Amino acid sequence: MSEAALYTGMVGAKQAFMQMQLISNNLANVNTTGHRAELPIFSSYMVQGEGLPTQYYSVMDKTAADFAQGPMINTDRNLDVAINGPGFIAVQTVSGSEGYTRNGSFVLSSEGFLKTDKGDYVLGQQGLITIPPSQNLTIGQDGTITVQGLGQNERSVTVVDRIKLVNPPLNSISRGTDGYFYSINGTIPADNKVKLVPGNLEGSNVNPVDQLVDMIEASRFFELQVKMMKSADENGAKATELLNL
Amino acid sequence: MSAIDSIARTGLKAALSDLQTTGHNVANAQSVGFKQSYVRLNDLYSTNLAANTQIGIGVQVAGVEQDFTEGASEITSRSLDLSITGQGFFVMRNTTSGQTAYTRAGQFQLDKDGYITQNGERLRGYAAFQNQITTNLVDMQVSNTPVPALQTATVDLEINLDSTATVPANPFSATDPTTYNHRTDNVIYDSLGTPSNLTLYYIKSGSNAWDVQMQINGASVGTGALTFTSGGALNTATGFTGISWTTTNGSNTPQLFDIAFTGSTQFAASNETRSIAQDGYPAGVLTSFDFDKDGMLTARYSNGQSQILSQVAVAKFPAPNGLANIGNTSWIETSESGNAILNSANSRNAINPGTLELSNVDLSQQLINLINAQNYFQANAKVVQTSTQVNQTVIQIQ
Repeated sequence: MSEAALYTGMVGAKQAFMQMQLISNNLANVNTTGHRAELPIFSSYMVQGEGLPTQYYSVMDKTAADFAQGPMINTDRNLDVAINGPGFIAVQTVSGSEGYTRNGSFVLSSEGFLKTDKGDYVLGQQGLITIPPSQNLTIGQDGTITVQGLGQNERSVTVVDRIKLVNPPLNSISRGTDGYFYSINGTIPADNKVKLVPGNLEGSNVNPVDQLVDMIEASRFFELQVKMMKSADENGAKATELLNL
Repeated sequence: MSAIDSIARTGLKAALSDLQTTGHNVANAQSVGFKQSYVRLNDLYSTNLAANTQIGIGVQVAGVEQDFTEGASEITSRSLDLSITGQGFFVMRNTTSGQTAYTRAGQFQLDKDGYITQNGERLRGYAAFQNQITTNLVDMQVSNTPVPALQTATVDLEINLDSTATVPANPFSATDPTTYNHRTDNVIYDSLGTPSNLTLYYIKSGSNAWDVQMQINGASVGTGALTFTSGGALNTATGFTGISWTTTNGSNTPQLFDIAFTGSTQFAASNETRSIAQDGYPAGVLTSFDFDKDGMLTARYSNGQSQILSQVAVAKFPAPNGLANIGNTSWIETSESGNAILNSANSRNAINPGTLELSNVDLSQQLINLINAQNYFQANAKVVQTSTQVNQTVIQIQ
């Protein structure tokens, strides 16, 4: 009996610890462009066994991403875009699979490919986006990339490609180990309704105040669980003393 | 326990990089041609955890990116201050190491040999040959070599002779103004640049016909004849090609030159000289030089002549972000930036003489960054503190 209570407390402490880990990761990414905060999901499970069902484990069996809009940070850089409202930018990662991100900070590679700042290829309507030698690259609200040819005047602009923007149902994607989101069932088609804000970046949507408050709560919760473990331990010791009589 | 600590440590590290970068930007808020940098952060996830309880393991500094947006320009009116409009870099060569570097700063100086330099490196440009830009990349130089004199080969005169004039009664004499109807005076140059006076006397010889007596410094060099049509336009001009003049000062002799009367007329209007031009000039020394908006370096000489010496080269890169910063607000090319694209078209309309490109650091933005980075650091420090408390609680379980 007392041992079961000890383990229930231990599981609770472990969950509190994992939540603190999650909060510290969120806080470490408070300045990461396009980062989506992680949310812990707790479920309760009944302790099976002899006696009455009085105890429940608390288990953090899932994490979810918070898809709320992050703050717009104006950079005036021509290769920076932020997504206004729902949606993602499609990229081809090193492994060749199609990932989705909210981080619209792009760079040009020396071969002329448009890449994310992590070094993965940004996808266009037909695969990778190649920018010809040019000047004055601009990205429009709908993801259309236009350039002005070298030595051409400002009015002669060419459309290069259009960034693939998607808007999948949020329960059909999950976070991968590289921080990108991946589709659970197959490639997601482009959605023309996703709107970009050129010259801006979307900041992390982690709210540091909330996270610090959660951190305090988690640490109190942890201490509480430890207290429970101590009491269970003491109860056990007392029971053993009784048996000694 | 250490997981929380190590996550917080990645955050602290990122915050420090952010502070450092911001500090560097603020320190260079007044450096000409400086480009601000910013820290790029990426989230980190480990592959070890079960798929549905995936907790991240912190943040990493993915890189410090350079922001190549154009800085504001400042008008200095100094002839050796240049700035580039739009993308592109000045090409600089280090004469000792031979290394080529690229910069946006354009505060140039002249060294003792006339080379255009900045921080001891020489500005590169396309050499000009006979006022035409070639593709030959050289160190740009303003040389003090004087322009040699050029002897006159053609004199262009445009005059009107009065058709109502009467034929003079007496034979021509330069000292008697009644023996001719009109005269023109101009200066011509010999091969040493010595000026001499060429005087032409126009004597009506009949209707629509004129004789011309030519004298240099008072000595005759021949005669010619002009005839006009009934409409007053020039019909024929004879005796004005290959006029031979024997000089005595050691210059090319005999000096041959032509006189052209293109556009001359004979109307019932007063005698007048509409224009006189000739193509010779004396020797000249360098008086000034200037750059134009295409980056052409033109030298101007005391004799009124000018000469295009070279054109400032502007290098462009497929990916300027990949350039490696080597200090002195200059960069070198890398495999990530791609090779420099150099052609004369890059310089067209790209150079602003008399201006400097200021640092593109936005101080207000940097100060906000500073506050952010500080908060970021404090939040992560708080995590470390909490983690320590948790550790102590655990130790006290027993």
